[in-house]
Amino acid sequence: MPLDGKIKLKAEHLCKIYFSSKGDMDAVEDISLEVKENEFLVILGPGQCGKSVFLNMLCGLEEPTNGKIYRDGTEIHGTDEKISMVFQRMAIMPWKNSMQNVEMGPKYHGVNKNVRRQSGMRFLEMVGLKGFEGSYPRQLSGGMKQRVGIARAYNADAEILLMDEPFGALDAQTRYQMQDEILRIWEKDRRTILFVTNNIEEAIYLGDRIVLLSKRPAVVKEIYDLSHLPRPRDNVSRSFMEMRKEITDAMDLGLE
Amino acid sequence: MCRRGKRRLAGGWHGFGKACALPKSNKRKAAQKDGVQKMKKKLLALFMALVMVSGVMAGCGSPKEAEGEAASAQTEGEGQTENKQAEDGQEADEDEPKELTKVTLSAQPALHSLGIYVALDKGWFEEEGLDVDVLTYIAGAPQLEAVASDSWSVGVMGIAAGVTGLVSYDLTCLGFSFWDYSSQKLYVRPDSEIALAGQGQVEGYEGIYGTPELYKGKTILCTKGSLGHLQLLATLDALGLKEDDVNIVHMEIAAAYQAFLAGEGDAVCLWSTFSADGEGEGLIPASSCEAAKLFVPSVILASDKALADEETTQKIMNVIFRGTMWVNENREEAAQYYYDLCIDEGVTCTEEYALSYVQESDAPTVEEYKAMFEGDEFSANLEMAMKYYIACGTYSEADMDKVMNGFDGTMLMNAIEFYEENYAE
Amino acid sequence: MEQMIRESKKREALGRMKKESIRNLCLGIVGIAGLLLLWDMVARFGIIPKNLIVSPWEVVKTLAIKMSDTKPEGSLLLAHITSSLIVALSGYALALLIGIPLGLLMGWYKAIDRLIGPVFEVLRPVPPIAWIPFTIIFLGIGLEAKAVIIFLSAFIPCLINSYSGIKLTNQVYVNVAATCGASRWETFCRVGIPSAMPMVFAGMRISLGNAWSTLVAAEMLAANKGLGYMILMGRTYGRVDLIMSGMVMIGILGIIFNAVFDRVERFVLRWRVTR
Repeated sequence: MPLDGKIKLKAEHLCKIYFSSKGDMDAVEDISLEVKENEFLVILGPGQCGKSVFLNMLCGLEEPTNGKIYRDGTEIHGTDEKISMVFQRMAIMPWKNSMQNVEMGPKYHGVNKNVRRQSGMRFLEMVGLKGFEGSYPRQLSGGMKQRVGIARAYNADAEILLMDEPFGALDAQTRYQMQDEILRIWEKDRRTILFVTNNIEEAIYLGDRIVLLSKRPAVVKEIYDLSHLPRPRDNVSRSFMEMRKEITDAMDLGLE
Repeated sequence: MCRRGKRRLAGGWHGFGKACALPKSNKRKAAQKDGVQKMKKKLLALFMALVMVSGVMAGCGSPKEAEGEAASAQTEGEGQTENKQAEDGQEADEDEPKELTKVTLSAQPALHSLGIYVALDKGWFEEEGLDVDVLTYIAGAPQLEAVASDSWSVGVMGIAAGVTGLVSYDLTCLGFSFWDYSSQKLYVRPDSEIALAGQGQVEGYEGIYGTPELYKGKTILCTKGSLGHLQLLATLDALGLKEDDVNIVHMEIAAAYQAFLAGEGDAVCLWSTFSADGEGEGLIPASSCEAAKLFVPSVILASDKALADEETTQKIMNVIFRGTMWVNENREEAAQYYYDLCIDEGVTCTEEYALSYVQESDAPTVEEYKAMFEGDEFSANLEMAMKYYIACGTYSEADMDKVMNGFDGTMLMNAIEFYEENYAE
Repeated sequence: MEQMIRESKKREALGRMKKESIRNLCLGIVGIAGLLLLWDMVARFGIIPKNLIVSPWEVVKTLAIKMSDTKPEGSLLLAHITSSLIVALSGYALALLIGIPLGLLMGWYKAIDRLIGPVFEVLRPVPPIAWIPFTIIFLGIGLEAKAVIIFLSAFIPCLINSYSGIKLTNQVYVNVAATCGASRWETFCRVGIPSAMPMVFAGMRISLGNAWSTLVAAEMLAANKGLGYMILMGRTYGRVDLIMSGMVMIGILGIIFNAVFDRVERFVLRWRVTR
């Protein structure tokens, strides 16, 4: 899929420092980034590098110390209703069942109940949870809970989906399944996805492009274009392996 | 499938399941039965042991004194032990120290018990060879509870508690010390209908204010089980009303008085300092013991244990009577004793009140004492009190017999004789 | 696994589970029976003096008699129970209505916490009975005054548990609500309160116990009906059977309350992960 579309989301010199009398913490030094419409952009970085903080800034949960964010060309501050987030764990309210969780976004915006239900059902089906609308989170497996989270983000009418290591808490098997799932969902209903991970294979498997971040405080180290790799990705093909090697070297995994 | 099954099993091994874990064997069923049997045996053994232990512990009975102190300490701080040693204890012509019999009495910070405290202070108990402890109680209920655990042998209290003692605690009444009816009054506010209606409208009871109609449905704050309550019952009887015709709210007297001043209730039963205070505030005594013709005495009660030792109990009675007569004849000094006693026990009192109360209270003369017991006047009092209680359902007719048979004035008569021989002028 | 073997294994497993639950039930019964037996023996053999204790059978008899006899304190058992229930539940309801919202608000909004917290800490240690003189002056001697005494002892666990419960709200849930565009107040209502519910219920349970056990103290204030009153009269007239009947009745009602509360809790919190 050709990726020259308009710029959906733009981050300009985003910076985040946590000030404190006991000593400041620089989380994100300077990240500038352009996300194209409907692309699957992966943000890859070592642990603790500040990628979650970066995502939080985009979504409005944290205020940038410096820098600007643009969506569709206009500057935004704080939370934006077109941007939704899928969290790594504990993002599903345990006291609501699947349908109620998925309905959350529209509910807060005062959407009519029937309309909510309908769209909620649609997305639950899309993520493969038909029949589980009335189940409570305690009755769902880890993978299923994440799917509810994704359905909720979709249902919130977001055009941009931020995903903060959404499969990090799952076991390996489920993780692989979910990777295929997210791609399938994305194929079905194209939206712009910003996907954060620390797993190189996952990054290459999923992304159109990979933004490689440095260690904390984060800056953009390198951007990789993966359009030469065909979808569905074959993780044992030569081109895959070469990409992997390139990125691994660049990640500089030695201890400094 | 198998995995799920394993999980369930794991759950079952919690807690007791684990303690009684059954060995996996082919003879499982037999082993199971065995396990349950063993469990039953263990449990049975455990609580036989429990029972035995509690029996042993309770049976390791503490001597009367320790029990008494423990029991009195438990009665919500309403009992205190006074152990006033008299200065000079011996008779002049005895050269060897007399062996003193240990005795515990109970009393209240009221006029009827004053004789005991005076006697204690003046060493009269020691003269008779008695080493006396006095437990002081502000109310009859804890005082009676204490006798149930053998804390005291002879005690003085009001007739209301006394009747309870005869019915429920199997005590015997040996006599009485003072009239107990002064200052027991039923108060209303000066602007109430009852006060405004004035006295003299009830035939035979001209001291009572108002008419029966005015009392119906009124809310009366009263400490049930006290003499104030009995006075109220007598008043109602005089008015031809029943307890159900009014709304009696049970409150402790200090709280009742406060509440009444704050505007609660239509009438309140007060006594001693509260009465004096109330009249100072302008409250009107709509009725009283005198107005309702309830001339009751206090009572002296003795436990079975005390009666078993007649000699000692007689000596106690002698001294109590002597002390009581002293109070009768030395009102001013007695007032000082009364004041000191109240202050010690935390009862509100002023010196002026103590003086007026002690001086104005009726006390029987020696002749009047004799008359009470030679005629049936004393038992008539008990009967009257019981009548009121039976009318309102507190006690039954069967209890009446208990009360009537529960008193024996012989020791008091002996005490009077003893007094006349040795101390009367 | 072969079907036959599977079924026989299943039967064994179910049988074992049933035995275990029967065993647990028996243990419970044995415990209570043991207590009753101990009590009976202590009363019967006079280990505690006869005027201060009465056997369990006497208690049953007295309760039966009191159902239709107003003597000696002037009311039927049912009237006493009703009166006590009204007093206790009024105080309890008041505690819930004030304690829970206050605790939740204090836990969520720092300003409210700073405002009310210190006042609360100063008043907390005062025992409810100490408030009796005040309540008499300001509220009289009726239901209001007694309900307030009970309220004072019951609302503290409610408040503290609600406070702690909402403070423990998972930040992720708050974030989720924020990304959905919820205001702080909306987040409080839709995320904070539901998330705090388990602890709120724990507080409610403790409060229920407190309310019930303060009943006797509250009725000491002024009463002419009620289980506490019945106990007081028992004491005044030397009727130990009344005292113990009152105690047993209070205990039984307490158990019933607890069971009902359990049911309600299990329903409202059915989403909770149980182990």
